[in-house]
Amino acid sequence: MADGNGRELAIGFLTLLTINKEGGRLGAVLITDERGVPQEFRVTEPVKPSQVQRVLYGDSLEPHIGIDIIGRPLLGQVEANPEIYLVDKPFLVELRDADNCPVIFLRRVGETLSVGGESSGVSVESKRTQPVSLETDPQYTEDAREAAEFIRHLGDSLDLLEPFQRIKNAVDVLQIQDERFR
Amino acid sequence: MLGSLRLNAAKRAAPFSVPPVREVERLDAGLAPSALDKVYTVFPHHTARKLEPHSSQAVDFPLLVTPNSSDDLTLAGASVHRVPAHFGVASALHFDVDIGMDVEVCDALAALLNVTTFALPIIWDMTDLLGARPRVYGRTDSDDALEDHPPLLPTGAVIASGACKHGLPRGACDSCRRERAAKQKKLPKSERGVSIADLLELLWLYLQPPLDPKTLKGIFPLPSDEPLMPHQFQGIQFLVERRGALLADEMGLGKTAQAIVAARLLFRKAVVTRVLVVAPKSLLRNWLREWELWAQREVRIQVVEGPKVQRQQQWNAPAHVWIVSYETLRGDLAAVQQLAEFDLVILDEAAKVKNPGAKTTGALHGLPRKRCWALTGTPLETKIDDLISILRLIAVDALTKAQVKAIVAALPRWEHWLTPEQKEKLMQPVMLRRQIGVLDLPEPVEVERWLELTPEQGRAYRSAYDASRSEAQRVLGEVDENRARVHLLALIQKLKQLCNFDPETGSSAKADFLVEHLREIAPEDKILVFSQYPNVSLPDLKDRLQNDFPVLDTYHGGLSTRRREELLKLFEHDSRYRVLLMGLKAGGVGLNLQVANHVVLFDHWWNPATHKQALGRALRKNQEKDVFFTSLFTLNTVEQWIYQKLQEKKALFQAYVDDPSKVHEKVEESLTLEDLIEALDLPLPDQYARQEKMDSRLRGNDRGTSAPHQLSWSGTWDQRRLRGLSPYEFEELVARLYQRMGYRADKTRDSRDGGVDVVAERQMIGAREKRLIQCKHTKGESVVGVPVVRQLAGVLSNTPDATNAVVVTNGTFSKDAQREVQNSRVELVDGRRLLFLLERHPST
Repeated sequence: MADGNGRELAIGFLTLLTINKEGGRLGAVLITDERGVPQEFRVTEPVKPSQVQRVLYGDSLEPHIGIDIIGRPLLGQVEANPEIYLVDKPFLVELRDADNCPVIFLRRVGETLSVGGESSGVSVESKRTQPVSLETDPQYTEDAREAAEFIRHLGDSLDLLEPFQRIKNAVDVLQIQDERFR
Repeated sequence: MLGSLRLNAAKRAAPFSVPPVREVERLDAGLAPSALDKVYTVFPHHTARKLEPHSSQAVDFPLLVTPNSSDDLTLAGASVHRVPAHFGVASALHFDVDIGMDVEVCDALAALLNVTTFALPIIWDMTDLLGARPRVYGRTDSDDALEDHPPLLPTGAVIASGACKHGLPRGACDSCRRERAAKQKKLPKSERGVSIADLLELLWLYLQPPLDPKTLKGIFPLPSDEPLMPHQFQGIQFLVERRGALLADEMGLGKTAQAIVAARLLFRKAVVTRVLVVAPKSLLRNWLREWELWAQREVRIQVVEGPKVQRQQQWNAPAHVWIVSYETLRGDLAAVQQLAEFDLVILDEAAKVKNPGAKTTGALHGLPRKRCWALTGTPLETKIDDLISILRLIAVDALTKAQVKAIVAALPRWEHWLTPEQKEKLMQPVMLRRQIGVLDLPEPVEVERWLELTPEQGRAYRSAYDASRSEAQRVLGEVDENRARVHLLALIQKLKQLCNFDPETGSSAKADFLVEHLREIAPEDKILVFSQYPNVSLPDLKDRLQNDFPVLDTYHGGLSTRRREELLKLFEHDSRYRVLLMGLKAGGVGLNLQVANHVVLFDHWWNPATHKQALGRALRKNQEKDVFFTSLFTLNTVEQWIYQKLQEKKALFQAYVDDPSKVHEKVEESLTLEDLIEALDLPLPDQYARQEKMDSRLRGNDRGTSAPHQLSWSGTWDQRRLRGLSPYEFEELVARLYQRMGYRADKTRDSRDGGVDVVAERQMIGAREKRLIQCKHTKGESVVGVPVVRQLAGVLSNTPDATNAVVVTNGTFSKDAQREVQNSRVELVDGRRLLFLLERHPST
């Protein structure tokens, strides 16, 4: 699928992974084409909060790291221009203003949401995957409706949640290979 | 709730990498509870700008600090409240210090708490480090097979032939660049070694879209000119689903491809990230080529070879796949055990580890591995224990161990107690074996050529034979059985070499035949000649052949890997070279040489499985020509006895591997002392005397050489009696039969018959009939196919005075062969018809 200018469409998958018991977190973004073929991949070295930091930040630790420390710099370096970013953590939708690009939290319908983010109430069914539900930043609820059709189309050829597993696999390997990512 | 934190006041800064205290703005807040004498409020410098101190948003963070020892503090048990500012990040901090606490400690604590400022992490861009962005595919139908897709990585970005020692194209390897810089002292020691670029290259594979292992549909480029075949899909699935598996397909069915694609599937799922391929040394480059072909440059490969220092670096190099020889692995085992566990170990030509007591087998057992697949076309070469030894190696998980244990436990009961279904049920979980018949390949034309020694060879052989007998008799009286066996084997080897060449004169019936054979076959056909004596017989053969044909150097185990590669490339691509001489052990396994369609066994190893492997070099997938497999034997020599032994072992091999119902049959020790005594036709010493062995088939004739036993041609013939003949005797039987039918029948000269074994002529009223007869003798139930018929039809058309031709076999003919002869001048006589003719024309 290409846009009106014949440019190949790109989808961004952004995730924040907890990589150790101490709560170290690492961010990664994978840009693929509409068939899931990777086009760009960036990964951060882990941010390792100290125990005191974990105490001080409490529940806000993960969003703070995910958005301020990792998310914004990471998206700022992506060269591709994805049509949409899909994220697997609800708080990451706050990155909507970072790249002027819709950021959608995707989850399978029926899965339990943790906290944060307001449901847009938009669910999408596709041929390849189970129905998914879209969540957006409360300030950009219109994104969900606009993105729904796009995602519905993509979902016919691509399991939209599967690339997150790929990223995790790659990071697992990276951690084995290099202590800088542990 | 908090955990606890031990803070060493004397070394407070180093372990936590805290920012300098000067960045901390310290205020007296005046909020001290009555129990505390000092209160510090710390505003991290980056948030102090945003919030007013002690504003309504600020909330206290009471922390209890208690002295633990003179140097240590314990920080524990406090509940924490956060300021609901931007993303809820704590923007202000109050902590209370217990009475009597040293102010310096408080400063240290304040500095520690200032770690609330996170440093931005380094972001690695894998795409850029690859040097170029992967291509964007134009196709949109993801369900199409993607044979015509280019590699996912830029050409040359990963593995390429002639690459550096890390497997990357020269000039493109960051590790090499760093090493060069280090040598030139441009890089500090601390920075020498593996670079992040190398590591990130490894990740690309795991970022690819997943596949359906049954169909392999998805983004999965495969070689466009080598589509996978149905049996290979089945094999791939068999491997993917098992941690321990024995893929025992016959040669030519693409075991290597199946293993690589299966491993690639597991790579895509990140189920495996480190694969070790253990193969014979001669096949290391072949494996590298196959990985490049079937993995389409998705994986990074490291061949481990060379000096020890270099190998150490190779083991530690970042890669997906390591390829190593059995011998090298044995030497490097201690080093390898220090590495991370391999997710998958592939044992190629696993018959090499058939001996459970061998050091190599022991080394493999000591190799940490999560999965183990063994590949062999000959799971049983000499003994039943071979198969069990291999199965024990692949038993890496509880399930496979249980399955193998069940097989081992069942062996004593195998013969008498288990039904065929039960035996098959036991074997199926761990072993998959298909035969070449699953491919629509041309049936090989197997020809045995029985040649008479040249006069010079005959004299030399006779002399050596007499000397060997004398030597053998002396040895048998002096040494124990084991040493006697070794001595006799050496004597027989010497006689075998004489059957190839007379070293004095260079005379050779086999070489003469080969020269004629090369002239007869089509000019575009290529031929592989195998010998177990690459350093004795093949140099002589090369000298003899190169008078008439360009001949490459002999391919044998003593050559460097690079030289072997060169020879194979020349043979494959240079049309001038039609002959490749190969050592049976080095060239007999693993290589894909479909460019050749003639295989000649110049002499024979004791093991029939190796011969089949030699044939398998040419009889492979994508072989489009008829394949001719010619075995050369010399008459009235020790080779005739060897032939008999090979037939016995071949039958046992087939019975065991291809028919599990006969798995109980033990292949006897390949050569006993009695066998060897029989070969030299010696009287048995008392301690070895066995009356039945004295009834040897081979008896010395008046010239001192062995001769075919004196067969009785009379009596009733049946299939069993026919099968017991040698091919030479079968031809004799057919000739005699036609004589009794009124023909003048003569056997042809062995080396120039064009496939015709007997010519039968008779004068009829007003006409003369001349029949060209080809004899196809089989020890088993083999079926004679179309190629034999076509070959004889070709000879018939080139023989103007011949009226018709006959193919006689004691077996049967394929349906295609029967259709082929309709409306032709070729007649087929199968075993039943032959028995009928023998009964109708009995010998007196």
